[in-house]
Amino acid sequence: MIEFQNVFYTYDAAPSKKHTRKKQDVDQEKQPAWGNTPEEHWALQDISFTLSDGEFFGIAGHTGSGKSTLIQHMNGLLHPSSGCVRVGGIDISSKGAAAQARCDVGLVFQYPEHQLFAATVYDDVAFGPRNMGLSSDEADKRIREAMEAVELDFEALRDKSPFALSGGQQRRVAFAGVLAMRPRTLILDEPVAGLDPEARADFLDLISTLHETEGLTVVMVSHDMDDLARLCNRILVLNTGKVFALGTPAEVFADGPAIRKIGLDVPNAQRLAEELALQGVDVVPPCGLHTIESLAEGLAARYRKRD
Amino acid sequence: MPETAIFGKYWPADSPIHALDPRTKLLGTLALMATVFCASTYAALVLAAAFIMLFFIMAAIPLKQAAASIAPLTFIVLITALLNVFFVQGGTLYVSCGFLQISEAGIRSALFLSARLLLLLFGASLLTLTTSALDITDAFERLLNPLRRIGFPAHEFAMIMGIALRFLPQFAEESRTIHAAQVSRGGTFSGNPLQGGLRFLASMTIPLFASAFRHAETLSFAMDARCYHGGEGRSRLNPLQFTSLDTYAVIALALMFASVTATALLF
Repeated sequence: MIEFQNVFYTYDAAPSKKHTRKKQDVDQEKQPAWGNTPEEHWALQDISFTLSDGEFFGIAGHTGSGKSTLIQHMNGLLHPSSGCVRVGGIDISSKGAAAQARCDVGLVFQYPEHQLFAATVYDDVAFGPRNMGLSSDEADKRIREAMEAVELDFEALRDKSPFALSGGQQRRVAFAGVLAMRPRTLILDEPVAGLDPEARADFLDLISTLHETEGLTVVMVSHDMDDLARLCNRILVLNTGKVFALGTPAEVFADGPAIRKIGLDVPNAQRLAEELALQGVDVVPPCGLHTIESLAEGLAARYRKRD
Repeated sequence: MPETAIFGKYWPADSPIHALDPRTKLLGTLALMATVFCASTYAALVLAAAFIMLFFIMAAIPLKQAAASIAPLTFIVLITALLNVFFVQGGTLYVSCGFLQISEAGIRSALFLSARLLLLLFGASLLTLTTSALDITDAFERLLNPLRRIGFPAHEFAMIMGIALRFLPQFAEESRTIHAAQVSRGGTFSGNPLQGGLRFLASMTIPLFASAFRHAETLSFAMDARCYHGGEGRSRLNPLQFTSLDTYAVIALALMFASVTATALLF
């Protein structure tokens, strides 16, 4: 369980001015101009939510909305300027608690294959377990397990250089490196960015398998609303560092125009349904939000009725 | 995105200093440094500081930004100060502990040198704060051009410098991400200092090297795609041009140099 309580964060670390500035910005509701002025301060503003165990939690928001900043709070890489983050009920602002949280909460960065470094795949995946101070037997067990989980052939790849693998395989190795720490929560920052359609589908399947069979809590940052709507129990939409919407996919994507206004969009099927509705073809989704299947069925039913 | 605080990252503004020809600024910075070195007394140093302050005000750069831009380099000042405290001897002896001796002369010279170095850093950061990396390289190339006659590869040299400057923030950003990723996997310098520490170092540097090679490859393709063929016969869209502003700048710098050296000699 990860709790965020009134979290504010600024990259501009001037401790003496923190409080006055926070007050100012909150009181005056100053609208920050994101991504262009060096003077801008708040990367996150008043974020509160609770992530329950076993959830598949999506995070959406346009570039610079604070997604990456938010997830780095979840394992204590960044600490709130004010407010607090609790992992399993423990405030992770102290160094020891943050180190513990890093074993419970695995964070897979964007393009994780760019962080590979070891001479062999085995050594790279072993980095996490060794840092945890595990015995070599235990580490070995976990490395096999993790590579199996990401569907890599342990015997064939263990002594290969990770730099000799294909991009998709490199990403799996990097992914295994985090899984080998046996986290209970897995945070993925755009896990399928830059993969081809097939690798993309495989990777998303892999993630949802881990979620279902291992019971991992998954937090996934994505720009793909279709993926989010299909996989997530709940979605958090960020805009300029603030919570714009939080709820089930159906709730979050209920208001298409509002979502489009902040530079995102609703899932494709839902958008098609909205546009059809504007043309007078109204198909009511079975549970709030259209999937490709439900839209196809709805349209087919309408078509049959007309005959 | 986190702000990358690197020495004198370009601070865009519409000011007379920004509008100066980059060659003037480059040479002016050298003059500024020479002036600071000639300021051998506190009075002269204060005068030089006043001039530099004036330039900062003219350039419309907030003092906070200026301070932030030199902050990463203040460790040089600190080290110099410490060296002076311990190795310059003379005057009253304050602390004597074995071979460590702290004396009046040591503290004096430490203070003076720190002030001078700080001033030097501020002066140098003015160049990079008010001039884009592209302009600096351009100016550099033009100033080195006469050396081409004796076979000096001025254009290539400037190009290397330009690319290095361009990629500094990039690598700073990337090293931060890599650091965060490895810390996420439990990497630290502490814990098991010898083995774990070395491994952590490797986990930071190797991905950075890999990324440098990756960038070099794509960059060379991109340059090829734009028909880059070295400096021979290359024309410019915006040729550098001296204006009356540059004349004023030269006068101001000369005035500063003269008054500071005079003060140093008199007081």
